[in-house]
Amino acid sequence: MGKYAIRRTLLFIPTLLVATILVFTLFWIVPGDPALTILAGGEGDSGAVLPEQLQQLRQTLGLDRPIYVQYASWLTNVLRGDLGTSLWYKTPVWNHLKDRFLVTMELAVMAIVLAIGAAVPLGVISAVKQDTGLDYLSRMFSSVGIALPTFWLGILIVYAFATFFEWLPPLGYATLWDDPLLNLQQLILPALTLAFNDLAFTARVTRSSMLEVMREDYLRTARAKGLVEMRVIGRHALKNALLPVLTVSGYQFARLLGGVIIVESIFVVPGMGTLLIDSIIHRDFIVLQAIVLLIAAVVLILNLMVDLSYGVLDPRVRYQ
Amino acid sequence: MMAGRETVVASPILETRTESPARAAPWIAVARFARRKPLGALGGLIVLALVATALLAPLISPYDPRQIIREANNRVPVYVAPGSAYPMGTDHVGRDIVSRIIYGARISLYVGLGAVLIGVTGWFVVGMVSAYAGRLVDLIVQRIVDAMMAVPGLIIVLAIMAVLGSSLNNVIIAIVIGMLAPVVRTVRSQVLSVKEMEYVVAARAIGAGSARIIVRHIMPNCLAIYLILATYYLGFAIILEASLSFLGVGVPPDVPSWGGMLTAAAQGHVTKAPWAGIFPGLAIFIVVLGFNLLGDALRDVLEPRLRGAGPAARLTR
Amino acid sequence: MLAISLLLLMIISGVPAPSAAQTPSPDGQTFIFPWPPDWVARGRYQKMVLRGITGFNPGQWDVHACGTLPDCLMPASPQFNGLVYHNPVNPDEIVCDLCESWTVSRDGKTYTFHLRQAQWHDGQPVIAEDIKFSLDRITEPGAIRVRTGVLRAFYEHQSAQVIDDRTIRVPIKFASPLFLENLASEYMKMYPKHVARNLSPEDAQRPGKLIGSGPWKLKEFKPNISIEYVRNPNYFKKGLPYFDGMIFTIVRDYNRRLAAMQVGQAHTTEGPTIGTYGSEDPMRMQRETKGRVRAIYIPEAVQTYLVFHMNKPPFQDPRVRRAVFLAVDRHELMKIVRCAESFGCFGSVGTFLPNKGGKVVEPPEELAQTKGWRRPKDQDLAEAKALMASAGYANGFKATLNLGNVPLVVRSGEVLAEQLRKGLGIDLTLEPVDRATQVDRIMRGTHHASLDSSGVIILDPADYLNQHYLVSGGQKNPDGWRHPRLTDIIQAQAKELEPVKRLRLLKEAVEILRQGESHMVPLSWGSSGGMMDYRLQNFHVPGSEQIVKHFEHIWWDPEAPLPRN
Repeated sequence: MGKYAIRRTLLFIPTLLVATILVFTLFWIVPGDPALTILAGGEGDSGAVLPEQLQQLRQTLGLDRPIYVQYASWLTNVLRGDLGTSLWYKTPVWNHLKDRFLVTMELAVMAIVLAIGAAVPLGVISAVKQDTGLDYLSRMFSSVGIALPTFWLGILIVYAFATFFEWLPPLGYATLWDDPLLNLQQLILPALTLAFNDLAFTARVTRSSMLEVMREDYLRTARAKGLVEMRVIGRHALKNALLPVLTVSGYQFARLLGGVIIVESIFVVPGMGTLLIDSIIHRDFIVLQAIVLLIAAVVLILNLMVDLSYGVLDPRVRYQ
Repeated sequence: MMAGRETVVASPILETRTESPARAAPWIAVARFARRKPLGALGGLIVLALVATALLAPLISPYDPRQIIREANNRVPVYVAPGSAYPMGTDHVGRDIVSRIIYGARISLYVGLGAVLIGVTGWFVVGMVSAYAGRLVDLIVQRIVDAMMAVPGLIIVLAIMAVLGSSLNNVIIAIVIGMLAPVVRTVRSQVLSVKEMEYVVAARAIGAGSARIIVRHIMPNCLAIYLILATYYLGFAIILEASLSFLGVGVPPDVPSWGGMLTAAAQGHVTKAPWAGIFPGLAIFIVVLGFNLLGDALRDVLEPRLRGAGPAARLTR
Repeated sequence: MLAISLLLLMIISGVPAPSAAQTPSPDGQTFIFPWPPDWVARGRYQKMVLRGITGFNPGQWDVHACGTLPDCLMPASPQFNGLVYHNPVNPDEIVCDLCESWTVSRDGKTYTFHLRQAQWHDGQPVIAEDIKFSLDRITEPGAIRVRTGVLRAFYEHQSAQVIDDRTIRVPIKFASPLFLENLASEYMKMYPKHVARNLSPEDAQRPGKLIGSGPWKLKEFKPNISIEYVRNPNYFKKGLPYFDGMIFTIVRDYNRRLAAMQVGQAHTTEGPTIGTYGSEDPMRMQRETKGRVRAIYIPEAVQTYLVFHMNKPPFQDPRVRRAVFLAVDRHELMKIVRCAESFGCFGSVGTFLPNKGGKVVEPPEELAQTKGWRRPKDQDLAEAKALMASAGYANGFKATLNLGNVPLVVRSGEVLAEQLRKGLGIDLTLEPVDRATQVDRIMRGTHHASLDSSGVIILDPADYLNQHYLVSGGQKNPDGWRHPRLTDIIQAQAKELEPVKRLRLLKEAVEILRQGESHMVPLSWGSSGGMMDYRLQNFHVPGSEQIVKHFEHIWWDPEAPLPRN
């Protein structure tokens, strides 16, 4: 398995390269470039920008070089540990990333924890009481979670809190160690919104997994031994049923990062999601590349860990 | 499904067998299905309603969906609440919402079917090829899949839409590309596990060619997987289209897509005219729910043991 | 004769005769602006931080190089002063900011400014050298000056003369009623020479590098989080500003901003007005908070218009352009887009020139009789159909429309498309995109037509002539449409001091444009809106969203009575 881990880790490099080249090329093709957004507005009102002015700015920013030259130059900098300077903010990219990364990770972790925390009991109950009213109810609930678009839920929540409770999380972000209470206040709503969607999938997987395991031979043995059903479930079934839940959640995390983008902008969370949208609007591809690199690396590492843990936790499985 | 043949579906943890349903008259099968899986039947009804609405749109829709209604003395009914004249009210430029919901069924169905037929089918083939062809092909495909899963799908889809421009067909293309990674990955792992099953090994041992193995052993299993994936991704496609509209890169705004209506309502502010957002939101929700319920029930029926751990679990998304 | 023309000059430049002290001198007219004006005494300093929200992330902080309003000018402007500016309590009037008085020579070609006693944030005094430096920096040849480049038309680089530390003589190329109006623009800020000359253009764009003389000092800019200012204790306008500091939280989501105002998390929106808000939502907020949040808006601040791309058929053909010009029902479009049942209309039909600065070039009564605007539209529609037929498009055609994805613009596009489809059989496919893509497509002319918006920059009808018809190529006139007589008129009116003659010139320009063959079809005027807590006092709505952006004159009155709706 060690060999497998090493091989997979080595494969990171081509994957990351492919990912960054992909994004770089895509944004090359997309209309509009940083010079345009600086002079003519990423948004809002703009002046009468002339082609000569654009050309001049492009030269200053080095945007008129061929695409492979720009990519190569970016790559060499990254290999030297320099993520570059933001074309919009004119300050180093790393400064922007380091704080935001933790914020997004905190939000994602909170969402996953909330989701698993609610999904597992839901799934277990659903499996144990299969085909009863309770089962249908919980399956409907998780179906709702899948069918509801995240952004819609987010907007509804903001609207509901503003109109009915007349309370919204205070603006101005506080980190977890500065002011834990404020921090939790600000993250709880977006985390719940994200969790709702993830909850549905996880509950479904838990249910299936439990059903699977509950039919198992060794459980029959336990029942035959005379153990109480609760104990049967709690001690034997649950442990094994949770394994696929954990692995699926690992893959879900990557998907979650996609939802984070929308949720962050609705709830004003200063994480990587808002930075990403920002950099897309401003065509700041230096920042964009750095974000893509970071997220891709995190997802790849996470996937690897999940795959490895899978092999570790279940001795019956060994990948080729 | 061939009657009486035992098809083997494996997960890395457990080797299980499953019987394909015996051949029966279609309506009996449907009735049995409805009785065993009432939720699935509900889902099926919803899907049927969707198809019927889409097909009969010109007959049942009171107005043209893009038409701005002009009443007497040139008054345009902007944001009129639901009432006798307009059962679901009117939208921000004075169009009838009922008509737009009805024609929206066409758009949703078109997008969903298009994405599934092209996407699920296409990536299905890719997944199979990747699993069955040599190491090199597999390696390359896997790297691409990994790369696409690592980059937030949003970026890719946004970029694609920005390049191609907003139109219905481009939305389908964007969704299809967004489906690449999960579908290929799932299909590949399924095929891989089947490939290693004893009877396939045995078949190879006695000299059966690859083609024969694929057709007689692997395909039937994968058919079930295909159906399940298809129903799930129909719902997924519809939601993705709505999200694209929210981000401003969906279908043109006057085209009556439910996602577009939802977005316009969200931007036009939820408090002022809630009906403008509630009805399309409800439509999306019901339809996606229907597809998911149907998919759930199909999966339960076709692959009762296919809920195991590992790669197979990804199927349940 | 001289007295009359200078009096007219005063009227044109918007200075009301009674309020400014004038002294006749052998050289010309002098305008003195003693400090403080009476409103300063009514202001009350509060030991609090003004809380605002904004939807925009500032990029670069050098006002001279700004191309955009909300993400460049608005964050940077509070740190600086101009030489002159629009009177915050009477924004149609131009008064002294850093200057104390100015004298116009008899021929109108030389302005002599006397400076007040002021200091930069680092304590150094503001001297005439700084003014000369700033004027030269603005007009620096080869530098990118999107919004300030217009000064080059009036001022020759390096022609200003420093008479002494507090006096500077500024010659202009020709006598014009518009020089001061342009100089009073918020973009024409004064920088300290001893700081700015050592900064490279890139450095100058970083936050906090350039210092100003203004009411606020930039405390901290946290990208995507907030912009914080702290009060300038040594501001030369003693007693101002009336707060300890300001903090603008950056909230990208529009609905979230509305919600923040609704629950009282912010006192004011950015600007405080900006086109994003329109008028309907602020009015709704005003109603829902029972008056605690006041809606403010600048009527006729931004216009939505259609641009034809003439690099290919069908809009290459002037007959087709004229057909669309005639067929569009501007009233209906304006009603659908800009009117709300419960609040009334916050917009008006589009015109070629803005009626600003007290000059009405296109009065509504006249428009009601004009082709294209008049109703019912039967006649104009018939003529339009005939034009289409003669151009070979009797059954219409398919075309693509490029537009931004801002809701108001999208709505306009939807109505426009429906009208053209119904009236002329033109099937427009709408392609809303983000700003960068939209501008790129306009400049490349990839589509058949585009929808765009223009804000009013200077308070004069000529503003739109300059923006749309003077330049060739670029965002506002991508195919460089020209009419020889129009170009002459534009140049003539800039030099015409006599208001009656000038008005006649402007009307002639409008007549040419109403032939409907230009590259632009005006659609509807909209307002630039915002919201303020009712306890904020002394804000007076200016005529354009590009001016009065410094929050120096606003104070908080905790005992202010809640106004009845």
